[in-house]
Amino acid sequence: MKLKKVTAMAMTAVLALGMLAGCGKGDSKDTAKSDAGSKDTKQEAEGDVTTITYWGWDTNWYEPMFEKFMEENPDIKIEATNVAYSDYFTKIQQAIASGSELPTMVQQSCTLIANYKELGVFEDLTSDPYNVDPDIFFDFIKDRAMTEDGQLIGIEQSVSPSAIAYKRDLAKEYFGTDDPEELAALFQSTDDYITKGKEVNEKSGGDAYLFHSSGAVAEWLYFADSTELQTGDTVNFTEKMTPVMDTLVKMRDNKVVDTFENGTPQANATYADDNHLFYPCPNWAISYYIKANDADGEGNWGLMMPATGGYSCGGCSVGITNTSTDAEKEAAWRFMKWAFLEQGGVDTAKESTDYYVPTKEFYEDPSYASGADPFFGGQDVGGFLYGEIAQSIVIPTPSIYDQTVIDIRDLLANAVMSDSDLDTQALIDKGLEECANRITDSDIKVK
Amino acid sequence: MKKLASPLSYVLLVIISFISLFPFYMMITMSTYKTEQIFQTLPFLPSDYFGQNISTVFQSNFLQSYGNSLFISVVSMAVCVLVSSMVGYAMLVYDFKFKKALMNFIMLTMMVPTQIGIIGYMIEMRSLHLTGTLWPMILLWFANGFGAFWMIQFINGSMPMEIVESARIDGAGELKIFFGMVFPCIRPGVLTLCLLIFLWSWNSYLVPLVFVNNESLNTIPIFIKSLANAYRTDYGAQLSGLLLATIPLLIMFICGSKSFIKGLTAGAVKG
Repeated sequence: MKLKKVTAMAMTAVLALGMLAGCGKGDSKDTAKSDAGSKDTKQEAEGDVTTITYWGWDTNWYEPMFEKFMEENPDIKIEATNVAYSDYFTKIQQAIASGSELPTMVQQSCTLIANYKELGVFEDLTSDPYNVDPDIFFDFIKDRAMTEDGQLIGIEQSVSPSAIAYKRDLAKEYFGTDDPEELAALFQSTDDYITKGKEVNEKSGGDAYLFHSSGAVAEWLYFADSTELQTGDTVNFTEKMTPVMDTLVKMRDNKVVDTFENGTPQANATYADDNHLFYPCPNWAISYYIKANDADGEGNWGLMMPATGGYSCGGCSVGITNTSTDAEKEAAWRFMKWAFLEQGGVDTAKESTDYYVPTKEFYEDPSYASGADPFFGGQDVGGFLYGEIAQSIVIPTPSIYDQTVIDIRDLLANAVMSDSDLDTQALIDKGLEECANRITDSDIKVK
Repeated sequence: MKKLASPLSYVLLVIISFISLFPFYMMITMSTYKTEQIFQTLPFLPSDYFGQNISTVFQSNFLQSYGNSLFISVVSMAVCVLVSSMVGYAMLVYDFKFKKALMNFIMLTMMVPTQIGIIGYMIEMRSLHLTGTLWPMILLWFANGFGAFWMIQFINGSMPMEIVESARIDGAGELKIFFGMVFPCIRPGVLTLCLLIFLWSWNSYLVPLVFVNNESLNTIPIFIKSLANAYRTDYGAQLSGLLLATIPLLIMFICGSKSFIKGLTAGAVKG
């Protein structure tokens, strides 16, 4: 009986607390109202602190950047919400559809940038009061976040020049050299990777592979190809994907590529093993994949020019939502200017996150990006990526079907390894079938 | 004399138990590894990284997320079970117009996935100025189609109408009958529903995902998913967080396992 009384009292207390907690507004930190009607409450009266919000999946970037910025600008408070990459765009779409409040700053993935342009919720950064001149950014990237009518909806967080990373000890063992230029000379076409990769596998008795994952190879070949995915009302799937699948099939048949699924922990563990030699490598992969997964590999890594030439892989931009108040927009712009256009923010990004901004003027100072990297045997990795590769990259015009086709590409890259009977044509057919399921706009032709 | 089970059934039970418990064991051992080491070897034996993983978990707002989840689940469970039991009681005891239509409507709500109604629910919550609070995650459970259906079926099968009639003759009011006589009779059904609603609410991902725009409102599933950045998912920390997150569920199941099984099997055997 006593137990019953205690339980009943506990339940009543919980319900009463619930009513209080749910009904009360709480303080601005804990239960800040987030519906559009309460925006003016964010301009806090005490000390005129402007609170702005940010949704992002990149804690590695925003945590140190916001901390440093708020330290230098105590009149601005940035509240960040970590949203997983896979859920991000859906959350933005749902907020727009339901009329809920959007954050002041939105992170825009490069593979969905065309979709973000269509949302129509971003400030044009080329107009007043921002007046950003896109020509200050690297040529290959300056138009990526620009709409057809010339509105700039975001600024890239970091450029993503990419090359091929390799393990020096294995390169020496199998190719007799670990010099990046000599290696690049050995691998001048995709056929060279197949011939030499086959030799590696045979020489190792079937243990070693040139690449660890078909997905990684597909990503490299896909992004290195400047063929437009969409021209007018046509998605050029076959033209874009055939060379990628053709190479993957040859690599699979000649045991050039292992069966790991790209980006999985199992695949990441191969960075530290002795059986995989080459890794398609965007600049961010150096810190977050190579150094993170092969902590004992200092001095054993090198970076070489791919046969396809340099390419851009990954990246995202940051935009300001036009639903924000003027005070919020101003505060957000102060942050973005600091982060991308001023020395303080640019240095913070480099030191804390290893991100390099797309603004060209900072590269005029050679010490910004260049310098010997002991992890890469003293190679000037920055000079190579930002001096040599970033200057030569060409990227196709973004399409709203980029992410859809990339998802299908990854699906096919896994399929090619799991079914040795699949040839290029079968893979393309499978891909077209997937396109038909996922691209449902009747005005769009997929060929 | 009690008949002993055959050795074969013991062997089978051991195998099934092993299959069921092995993932839990792996969750425990993997939570003691650094993420990068988890997949380099087969982590059958515990390592020495548990402290760091736990520290990573507690460095973020784990306790607040835990508290939020606990609060949401307890309130959702309590109200949902109360409302559902009352629905079950009303559907059995009272005769009223459109009773059948109401029953069909309850069943209909079970057939509509949450995803379909989420935008409408967001608009509703925004109109009620409840976004930015924990209420959208709680209110969803207050009128739960499954809960009502479950209690209707359970009360139908386990509570004799004569009890209610006798109580009425003795002069008991409806609330007295419901709480004093009906509730004890339907205890296994209530406890089973408690466990299910608590579990579903605790593990709910979609609703918190769309409503949580502030880390102070995080629930456990959202918090665990957030233990990652653009390039690295901290599986070690995530597994440690999951380990702590399963504790309330285990406690609930251990406390209510007898009633849970009774509740699930009620009406399964006739006679």
